[in-house]
Amino acid sequence: MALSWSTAGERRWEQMSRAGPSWRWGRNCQCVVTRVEGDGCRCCRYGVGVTAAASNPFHTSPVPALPPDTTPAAIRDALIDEERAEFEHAYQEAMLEAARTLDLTRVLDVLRNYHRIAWLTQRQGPAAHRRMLDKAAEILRTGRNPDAVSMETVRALIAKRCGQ
Amino acid sequence: MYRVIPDTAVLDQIAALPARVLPHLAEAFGLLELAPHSGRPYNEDLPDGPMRELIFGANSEATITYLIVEHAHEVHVLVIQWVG
Repeated sequence: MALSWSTAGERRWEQMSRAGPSWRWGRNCQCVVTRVEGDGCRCCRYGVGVTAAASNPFHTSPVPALPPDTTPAAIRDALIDEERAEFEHAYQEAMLEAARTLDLTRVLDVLRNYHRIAWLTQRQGPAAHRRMLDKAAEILRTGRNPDAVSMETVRALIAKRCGQ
Repeated sequence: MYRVIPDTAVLDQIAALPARVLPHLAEAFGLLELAPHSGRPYNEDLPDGPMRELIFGANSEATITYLIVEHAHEVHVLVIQWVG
């Protein structure tokens, strides 16, 4: 269904797995709600996180909820090392700006940018991603890649796979 | 004209790509030789950073992550990933 991320994201997937096929999102939050819980999760029933949507006569609020793997916590958990620190810094700056301007554009831009990096990180695996970042740093530092191959080798591989 | 220098890890990654995207990959390498800055910044928060990404494939199913060493006119290909 989706990438298996650590901590917050993983906990959410575990909740979904436990809830089985009948789970759904909480009405005014991102909790995983099972059929057994009836109308809502605890935070909906007790008013935690309830916004103006709760008093809206229309059932569904037009304000979108973030998909689970794009929440700030899920993105942070999927990033590694310096990229995690860069995300936290960029996100905090964007939130400060949003608090001042009431404009979420910058916050959403930060989430989109780092969600893509987080996705790529998990796609190739954190260890391989770490190697890629280390390799880039080494090339910038020394001016060469000791593990380079020639373009002729790569072109020959492509031609062979294409049956040429 | 830039010199494109792939990392050895790229060989396994190319071997894992579906054959139908390989002609697009060959075109992408050609683009990197001529205009590596046409890729997007790897990190949009660092638009002038040396790492960039080029999306390729008929339906944008794969990416090349690479490093531009401007003073040497080199493009170091770090990772090729299937994202489709």
